[in-house]
Amino acid sequence: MKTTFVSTFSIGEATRNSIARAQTNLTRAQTELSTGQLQDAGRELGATYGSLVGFRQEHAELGALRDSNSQVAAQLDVAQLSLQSLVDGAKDFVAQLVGAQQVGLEGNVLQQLGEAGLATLTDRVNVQYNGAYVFAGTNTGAPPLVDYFQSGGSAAKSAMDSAFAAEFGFNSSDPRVAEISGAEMSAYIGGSYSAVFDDANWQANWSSASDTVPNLKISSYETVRAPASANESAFSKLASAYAAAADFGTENLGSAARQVMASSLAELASEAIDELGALQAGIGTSQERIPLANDRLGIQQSILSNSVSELNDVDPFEASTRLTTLLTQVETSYSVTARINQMSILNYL
Amino acid sequence: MSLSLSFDIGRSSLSTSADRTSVVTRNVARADDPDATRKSVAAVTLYGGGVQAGGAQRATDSVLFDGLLSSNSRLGAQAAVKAGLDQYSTAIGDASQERSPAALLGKLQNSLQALSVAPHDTASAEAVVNAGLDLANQLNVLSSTISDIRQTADADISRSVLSMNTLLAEFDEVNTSIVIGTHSGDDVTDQMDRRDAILKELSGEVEIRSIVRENNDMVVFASGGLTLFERSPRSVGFESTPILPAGSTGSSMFVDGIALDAADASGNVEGGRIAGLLYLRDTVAPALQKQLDEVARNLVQVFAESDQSAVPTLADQPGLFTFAGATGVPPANTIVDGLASQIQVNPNVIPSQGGDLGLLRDGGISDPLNAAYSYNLAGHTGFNGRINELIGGLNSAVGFDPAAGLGETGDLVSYAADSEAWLQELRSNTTRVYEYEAVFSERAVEALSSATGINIDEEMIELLDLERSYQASSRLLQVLDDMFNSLFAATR
Repeated sequence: MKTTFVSTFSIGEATRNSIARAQTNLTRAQTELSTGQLQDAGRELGATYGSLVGFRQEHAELGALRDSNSQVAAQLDVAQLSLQSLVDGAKDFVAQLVGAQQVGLEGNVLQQLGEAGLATLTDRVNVQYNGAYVFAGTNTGAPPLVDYFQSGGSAAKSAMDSAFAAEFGFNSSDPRVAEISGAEMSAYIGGSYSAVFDDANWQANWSSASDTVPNLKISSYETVRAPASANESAFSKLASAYAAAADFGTENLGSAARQVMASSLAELASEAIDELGALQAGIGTSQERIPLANDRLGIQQSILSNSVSELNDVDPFEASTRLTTLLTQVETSYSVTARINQMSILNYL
Repeated sequence: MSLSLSFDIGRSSLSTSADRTSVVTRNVARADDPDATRKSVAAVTLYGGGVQAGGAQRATDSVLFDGLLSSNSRLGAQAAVKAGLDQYSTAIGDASQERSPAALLGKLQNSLQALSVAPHDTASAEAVVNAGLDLANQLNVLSSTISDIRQTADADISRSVLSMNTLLAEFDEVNTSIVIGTHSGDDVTDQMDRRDAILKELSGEVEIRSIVRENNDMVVFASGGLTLFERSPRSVGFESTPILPAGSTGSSMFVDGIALDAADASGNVEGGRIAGLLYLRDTVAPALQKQLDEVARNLVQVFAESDQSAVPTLADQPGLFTFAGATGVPPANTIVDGLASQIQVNPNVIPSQGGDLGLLRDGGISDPLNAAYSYNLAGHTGFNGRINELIGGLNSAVGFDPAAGLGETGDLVSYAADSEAWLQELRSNTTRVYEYEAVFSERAVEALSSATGINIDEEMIELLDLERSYQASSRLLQVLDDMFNSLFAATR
């Protein structure tokens, strides 16, 4: 009767199995050590794997928001710069008018100031970012402001002409403009002239921008408004001041009418400056929110990266210790196998 | 007692030693055969003092043998399920590869976010369409992987059944010779080894239990009490289904017209490769398919376009994501079988197929000619209302069919991530059980082999014993011969 017994097959099988298992673990430890990540995260994590996928996805989503935020920020910067340039131009216009009033408006100074102002206005309002017109509301495909001086005449120009003719009974190029008195001019600019720039006429003759200003998402639950639309009254007021000077601020005008024009246009431009300032403030608020949102997104992202690496990363020290242990184990298995196989009673018979 | 009687005893001892040596030789010859058991022959003392070799006995241990069989079955089942899950998991890829439906949904959402701040930008719109194509394509690929898994499982069952029938026929032959041999007192130990080897192979295919009756006759049952063998082999039937569309079930395996259960009462897989394959084909793979189909259905729904007229009259239509033969948006909260294999990006937004990228922003992908589905009638290139609506749709909770085995409500990305978690949880569990069973099975093989197998050293020692006994008997005979010689010399 044998109490302990082991078969020859069983001895071979045991060493073979232990070597095979150690080698499988060895390849896994090697991959984990070289990549620093679990070789088979799904197998290790089981149901927690869903969180890994979720964290990674959220991380990418926040990254996408940060990318798009840089575009929003650039767009707002472009708008802010344009507005600043408009404000500077308008201030200059006012200063020139006020200064010229002291010495008397000679020649076509008024007209030149108006023409230059109008050209700058058109240029700044029609500014583009990434192929889209910044002040166009949603209609970013078309330049928001018509070119007043375009060849063949613009709708804006003819609206100006007909309004002038309706008020005075002759065109602004007519020599009779010299007869227009200061009171008459004051009545025109304060009265029917402003109707040329009311919302309906502005959108019909001057602006192709849309009133709708899109909301841009800057974080999961925050939006900022895109830059103001060219339909804001700040733009039409400034345009009306420049256009009046350019259109009928000619040298033919009587000096009384010219004086009246200078003071009322300076007033109009100053109002526009105030309104542009309000628009700038609005954009400034949005500009300020973007870095704040980006900071928050960055913090969230780093928390998420930490969570991902907590789930997915392998402690390099642990992995290398495991590798060393496994190597020793495999080597031991080899030498044990070799010695067991040498051990046979046949060697002693 | 006479000298001649001693002579007879000496002679019987020689022949017994020769018989026992032949058994040792048989043992040594099969020492490396895992199916071989140790044979032994006892010397029986005859009336009058002679010895004779008794019948050969084989070492057995029925407890260890049964343990081996059941561990073999469990290992077979787990290996089959694990292989299928591994295949699907490879198709999805690791989280860092970002090829899973959840990751691709995320990419689609991110590309929409980029488009929403630059709705006029065709490059951004193209990125959205490409992300959509990637997602639809991956859903198609995963769906075809699932049907591949199911069809491979079906074909494997068919092969397993074929091999079971062959094994049972061989079992019949071996069993008959054992019964006849036992009856007539022949040495049947080698046939019994062979019969046990067949049982081992059978246990890999289905979980079996065996009972030994008189004359070493054996009866074999499969799990659930199906008789596989009793005096004659039962025929095992299975009809392979070459094409298994989503939502269909393949046929079961039948023994004598009774179906084999793949899972026990608590839904865990039964033992045996066939049960594992049935479980994979009819439970695991269809569940994965249903989850994919739900992702696809909700994708169609989230991107669907509604009638934008002041008084809407038209039904919603599939937008960016549609499927072959779509006549409308599939009803809410109900699985559409196989939708994941049919989902595609609407050609109306793919420029290479004559589509218009602008429809992504403006709506009307379903029918570019029908103004009712346009969200941006003014055609403004800076319009991002529709895009923001889509991003909102991807982020907000939608309904899911509870039959898919995951939650009933949640947002699409989380649902896709849950589906992956479900898969990996199952895979992790299966792998753990598989590895445990693999070790257990190795131990069972070693334990059985140690209890019933052959040790060459042992056999050599036995041989030394026999050699001594043979030498002693020969010597005795020689001494007896000398004694006879001296007797004859004295009486000459």
